[in-house]
Order: sequence, then C-alpha cells, then structure tokens
Amino acid sequence: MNKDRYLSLFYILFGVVVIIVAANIKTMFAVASEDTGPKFFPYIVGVCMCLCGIGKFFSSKDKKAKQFVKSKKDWLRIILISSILLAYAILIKYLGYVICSTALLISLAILLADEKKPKTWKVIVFSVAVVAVVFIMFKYVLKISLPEGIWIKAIRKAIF
Amino acid sequence: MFAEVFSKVFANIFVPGNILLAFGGNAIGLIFGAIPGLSVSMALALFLPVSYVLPSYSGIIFLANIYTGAESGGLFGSILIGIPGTTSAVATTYDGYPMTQNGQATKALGIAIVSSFIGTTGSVACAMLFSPFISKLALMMGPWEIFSLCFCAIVLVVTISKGDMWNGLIAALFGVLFACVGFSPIDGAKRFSFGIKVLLGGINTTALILGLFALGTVVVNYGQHKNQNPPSPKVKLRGLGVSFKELIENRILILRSFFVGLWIGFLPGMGGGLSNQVSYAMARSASKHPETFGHGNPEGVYATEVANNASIGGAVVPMITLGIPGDSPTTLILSALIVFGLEPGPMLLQKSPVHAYLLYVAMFLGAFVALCLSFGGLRAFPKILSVPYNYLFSAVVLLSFTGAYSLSNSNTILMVCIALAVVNVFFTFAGLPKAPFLLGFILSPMLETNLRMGLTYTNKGFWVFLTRPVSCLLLVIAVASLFWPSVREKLEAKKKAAKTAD
Repeated sequence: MNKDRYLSLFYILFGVVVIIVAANIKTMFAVASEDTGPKFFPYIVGVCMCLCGIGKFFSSKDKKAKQFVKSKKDWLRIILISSILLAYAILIKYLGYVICSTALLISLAILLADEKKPKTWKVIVFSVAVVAVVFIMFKYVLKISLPEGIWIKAIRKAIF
Repeated sequence: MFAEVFSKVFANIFVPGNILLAFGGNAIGLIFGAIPGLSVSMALALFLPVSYVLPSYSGIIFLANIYTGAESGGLFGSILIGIPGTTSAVATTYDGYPMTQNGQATKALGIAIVSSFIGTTGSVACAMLFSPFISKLALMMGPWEIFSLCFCAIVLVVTISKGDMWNGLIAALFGVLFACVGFSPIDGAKRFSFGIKVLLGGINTTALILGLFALGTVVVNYGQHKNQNPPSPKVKLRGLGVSFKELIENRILILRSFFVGLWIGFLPGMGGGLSNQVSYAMARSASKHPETFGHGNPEGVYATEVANNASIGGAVVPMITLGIPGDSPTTLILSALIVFGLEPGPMLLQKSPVHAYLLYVAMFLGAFVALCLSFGGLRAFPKILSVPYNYLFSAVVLLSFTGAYSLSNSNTILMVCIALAVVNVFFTFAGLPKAPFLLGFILSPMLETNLRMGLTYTNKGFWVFLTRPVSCLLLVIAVASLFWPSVREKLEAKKKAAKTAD
C-alpha cells in the first residue's frame, strides 16, 4: 500500500470522528422546523470527507509519491524547531516577553543558519535590537500589553 | 452626494500623519512582497494588530498601502534573483530574470514597476466605477444566491488547484471544518472547541494565517533544508529603464493583460496568482515572436505585471460590494473593516460610503507611493534581498508571535498558531493545496449562515436552491466544473482510440 492509500484511510477515519463529535454537539434552543441546526454542517463535512477518502483510495495509482523530507532524520529537525516554538508559547507566561523573545531569536538565528555558524556577538546584538524595537513599538507606541511573566513579576515584587 | 463623500475622503487622506502611514505601509508591503517566502497575507496579518489601534480612517489607509505595496513588490524577487517574491509574480520570472541575465535588469524593473502602476490604478478606478452597480445587484440577491456563489467559488478553486481533485476537495473540507470551530452561526451552539476558551470565538483568521503561513513556512523549510540564503543579486542599476514611447507601442498588450487581470481578480478565489500566468500565456500566443518568450522578452514582463496588479481592483469589488472576500489578503482587510465597526456587504456603500471610497482612494494613492518608492529605492532592493535567511525569518517568527499575542492577550493563541504550523507540515506532507483550504475557511460561515437562512425563509427544503435561476446556474457551473476534467479526459481518450483505430 502506498502513502496515498494510507492517507485516504486517515481521511475516512477522520470523517467518521467528525461525524461522532458532531453528533454530540448540544443545541442551545429549539431551531425552526426547516432549519438544519448546528450539527448539519459538520455532518456534511464528515460525510464528504469519508467520500473523498474513498474516492482518493480508489483513484490513487501505485506511483512513488514525492518525498516530503530527504531522510527520516529531517523529521527530527521539524520536531526540534516546533519544540522551540512551543517552549516559547509556554514559557512566555512565566518568564515574560523580553527574556523569552531574546532567547527565541538567539536560538532561531543560530538554528536556521545551519552549518554557516553566525558570529555569536552578531546574533546577540541582532536579537537584543529586534526585541527592543518590537517591545517599544508594541508596548509604548501601540499601547498593546505584553506579558511581564508571573515569575519575573514575583521577583520584582520581592525585591522592590 | 459623491462630491460630499469625496471631499471627506480627501480631507482624511491628505493629512501629514496619514500620508506618513501610507509611505510606511507601502514600504513594509514592498519589502514583504520583494522577499521570497514572505507574502502579501503575511504582511497584512503581521500588521493588522497595529492597524487596530489606529483611528479607522488611518487604519484603512495603512492596510490599503501594505496591500498595494506588497502586490507590487513581488516583481523585485522575480527579476533580480529569479525567485518570485509573491505567487502573483511567478510568471514575471519567466522573462524578467532572463532580462537580468542579459544585463537588462534596470529595463525589466522599469517595465515591471510602471506596469504594476498601470494595473493597480486602472483596476482600482474600474472598481470604484462598478462597485455601486454591483452593490445594487447584490441587494437583489437572497441567501440562496449567496450560498450558491460561495459554493461555486470554493469548487472553482478546487478545480484550478494543482494536483489531483480529491486533494483539493479534502483541503477545502478541512477549511470548512476549521471554520466550524466555536459558536455556530444563528443559534450559538458550541462546536469543536473542546473546552478551550480561546477557541470559543472560532479560530482567528489572523492567527490562522500567521500560524499556517509564517510559522508553518519556517518549520517546513527547516525540515526540507530550504533555509538557505537566496542568491544575492549582482546587478548595476541605472536610470528608469522604460520610456513613454515603449508604453504606447505596447498599448494593446497592456490593455489585454489589464482586462484579463481585472476579470480573474474579480472571480472569487483566483486573483493575481492565476492572472499573471493566464496573461503571460495569452501574450505569448498573440506575440509575433513567441520563440523569444522565456529568453528575456519585455512583453512577458508587461503582460504579467499589468495583469497581477489589475487583479487587485477586481478582488476588492466582491469584498466591498458582497462582503465575500476572494482570497486571503482581502479576507484580512475585511476582518479589519469589521473591527473598525463597518459591515462589509451590499449596504456598505450606502451606510459608510466614506470608509468604502477611502479604501479605494487609499489604494489609488498606494499605487503612486509604490511607484515613487520603487523607483526611489531601486538601488536598495538588491540589498534587501540579500538579508540572511536566519535573521530575517527569526524576526518574522517573533513578529508573528507578538502580533498573535496582541489579538487575545493570552498565550493559548500562540499554541493555536503552533498547532496550525503543524497543520501546514501535514498539508505539505500529504500534498494538500492551501488555496482551497483557505477559501473553505473564509467562506464557510457565509455558506452555513446562508444555507440555513435559505432553508428557513421558505418551506421548500433544499429544492429552493435549484428553483431560483441564478442560484441554480451557479450550482450547475460548480458541479460541471468539478466533473469536466474527468469527462474531458475520457473524451480525449476516446478520440485517441478512434484515431489509432483509423
């Protein structure tokens, strides 16, 4: 079985899950008798997803699919960069915008450069400068609040 | 009435602060358009939160200028390094880059910049002229017609998307499903929010675009080792590169490309990404020297750059008059209009004519500003294109996160963005096209609301969608275009079989 067929099975399964989840949607109040209600649209999507999965399963030819990544190791790269992003999203609540953003920029600027390792001082100057500009722009010019960080706030309160 | 509206529009535009915003927005747009990997939608999505804190008039001017700037900026990447800056400048590489290789970079840029200007100004003028008529027609449309129009738009995008049709349909279904998250229209039932607070209001369009396109691109590129610096352009730029005489000589080519672009832009879901290719193909077949196309024929540059910019005006018309955006940039502008307290749709031109015409005039102004900045900063663009990948895209990630955070003041939305980046990984892995997904997502609420309204207004059930002539015609077009490719394949196979039998 080729990749397309596995994907088709996934779409069929996904369609079934959508139908099951849609069946459990609670209607807030009785809808007009002609109205289809809030479940109908997700149902249709689920059913069509199953149909498309079936259609794809039978129309897929056994040709070699285009490779998504060169080697299996490249999946690790995807996991690595996604975890950095996820760590940022989680830690921003605790460590605040400035610290997290600087760390994010430093790690990404090094990571994305691959073998051509950029000079450390350049990366640090770049990260601090960009964070400073964006922070001042959002916080003071646009007056949009950015997280200070629960831990940083606690430390600040303890000291002052 | 028009005189009053326009005097208000001009009084609001020609204020020093707003002119400054126009230049700033345009410069941002040009840079985002020029650099391959950054897109028009990304520029708009990143700076939407900025526009929200501005007064509505200034916000509209800022966004309209980002939009026109970014649509024009794509030509720089295409011509200088042979990598299109935006999808609407793909065909510009066919002849623009060979011109650069032949030592005619300045000429190619000059032609492209002036062509973009002609395309934008002409199409925005047409949009301004036609909008009142279309909005009057739109007032006659009921929920049945709007449902069928949205359905037809999604199906048309599925049929023109690359790869097989099943993938296009599946992508569109994912889009429709993603839009179902949150409270349902009409009765407000909770759907697919799984108790996550930030999902109750639905997946934010700006967050979706930032996650899917900005973060998603960075993640996929890193996995596929595409995080390399683009080749840095080595060109000497002198003069303006194009003369008035040349423009007059190419007037028929320009006019034809203009109308192709305008019409394709008007069709929902298509826009500059398609019009530049169609216009290029038409210019080649109409040319006296088709064999020179692809080797640096200036006609190829005229054709693509007039057409892709002419699509701007076309794309704005359905957004303003029907409230139906055809692509992601217009969706983002539409969502900003809603935040500014406007109601896009047939009533917009009557209820808030100043805002509507301000958008048009700001785009018109945007074309002039883009022309000035492009020619004025001609020598800066090779430098902008040589910014190292690692610095550029890490800054984009930070801006995306900051912009997304400001939408809801919580870090849950950042996780939603990351989830959408993972969705982008899946889409690339499975070979699903993103255009149908996006249009499905954008039009899904209109599709559902109008379907349900259409059903409750009469007691004829689903038949009502077929008994109304316009709605029926649109549905027939949709179904026919879905089956046409396979029918055509069979017909061609039959013809071939008949020929070989002879």
